[in-house]
Amino acid sequence: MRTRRSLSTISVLCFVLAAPWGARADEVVAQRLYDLGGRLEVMLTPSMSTFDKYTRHVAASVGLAYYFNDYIGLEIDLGYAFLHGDRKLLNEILNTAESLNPIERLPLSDLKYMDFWTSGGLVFNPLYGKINLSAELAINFHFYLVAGAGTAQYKYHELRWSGSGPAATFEKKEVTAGFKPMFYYGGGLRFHIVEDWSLRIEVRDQVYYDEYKAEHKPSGTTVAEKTIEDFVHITMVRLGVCYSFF
Amino acid sequence: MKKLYISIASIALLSAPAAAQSPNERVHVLQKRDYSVKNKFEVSAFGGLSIDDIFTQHYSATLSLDYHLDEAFALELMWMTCKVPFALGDKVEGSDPAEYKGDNLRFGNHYTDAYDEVKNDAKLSPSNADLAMINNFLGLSVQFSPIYGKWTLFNRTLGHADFYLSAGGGVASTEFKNARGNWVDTGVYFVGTFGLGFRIFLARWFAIRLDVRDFTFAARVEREASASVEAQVDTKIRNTMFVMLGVSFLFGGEAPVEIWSPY
Repeated sequence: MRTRRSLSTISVLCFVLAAPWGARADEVVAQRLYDLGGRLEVMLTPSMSTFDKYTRHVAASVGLAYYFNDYIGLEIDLGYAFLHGDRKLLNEILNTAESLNPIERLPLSDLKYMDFWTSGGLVFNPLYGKINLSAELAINFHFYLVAGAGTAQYKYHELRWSGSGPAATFEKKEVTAGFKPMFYYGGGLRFHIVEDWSLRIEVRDQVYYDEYKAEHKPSGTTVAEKTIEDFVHITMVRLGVCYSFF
Repeated sequence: MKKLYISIASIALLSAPAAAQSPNERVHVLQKRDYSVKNKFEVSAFGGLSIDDIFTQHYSATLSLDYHLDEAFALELMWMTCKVPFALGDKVEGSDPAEYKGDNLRFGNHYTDAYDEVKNDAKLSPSNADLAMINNFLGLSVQFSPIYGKWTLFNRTLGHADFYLSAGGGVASTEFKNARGNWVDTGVYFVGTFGLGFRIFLARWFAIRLDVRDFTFAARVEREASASVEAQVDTKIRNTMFVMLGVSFLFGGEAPVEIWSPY
């Protein structure tokens, strides 16, 4: 959480500092080629989670967006994580645990992963620019921010123990937590390839408030219930291919 | 981590325009390239934090000196610190290997809430190799700036930036905090670095830089014997990614030449 707070602060700081407050007011990017106003676009977006503690996702989503003008648009997104589950790190620390038996619901936050989701929100494009990549062609881009809400189906693993003492072993059982409301925020760059086609690279944090009844061992072998209240973050890097109809 | 590299490589490839290299580096695609870095020295100071480790959290202070060979290539010497260099703190008597106290010296090294949760609530033990933290890093890298750009905010004002990739290596000292809360030296490692970033030019002599850099090393840390587990050595390839925000001062070099371009 501390890292995410710090990163959010850095993002805001960058955005403020990136504002060209030292530049002349009568000078803008010459020959601006692309305007988003009035466009209806479809998107196909592969994505994967990157900074999550214990879970991993590889997903794909389809989306639709409409831009009222060059700065503001609305989007909807429907996605499915075809690979989802626990990270190797979690399996590693579970497998080397010495005194976990008979805990079934792990007292850890950010354990839940999602498979289906649907969401909708705003797209805000404050910044337009051009870059050259050691070549003769300029690439036009928009920097954008997104925020919105939706619902997603979350799952997690519980442990099922067999045997007793040091020889006890566990198996993981997938449990469905159901569809939960979530919200998201993020930002990215849209690279305009030609008039109708563009690429979006984006980082998006999907957040859901979780109240989870876990188990822990306050002392010795006694197992007690512990409620974990925390925001579950799933941070995805998304690479979207967009086609505009109008 | 591999996935992240694949993403970055994909983005670089997909965002590339038709590759038509100019024979004359002075002909810039974007008209009025106001900020030239060729032959300039650049001194930068950064504040940073690690972003991808689950159990460790670094806050760093970094100084770097860059020499720009031309508009695209630069050499960079970097010193990053999360701890007062060479000071170890108070040695715990009778400890072997030596253990030290002194959290104030390790101003930038902390364990996360996730570590406390794993250790205290779940009574689980991450590998000691996952707990090793970088104290000080000294390294050299090559910086490649293939992209120069301009942008406008709300179609009103103009900004300039260049985007770069960097790769290099160096050495880093590392430590970890054991179960007794004491710091144990885990050795000096060769560290490979890979990163990307951009500098926003606010004046010809001053820029703001945002840098994302990954530090990779092979941590090898001893685990003490416990009632049910024998002493062993935990080995792991560790990636610690830092986001660093800083300011740069540029000296020397040449004034840029304006050449007309249709873009």
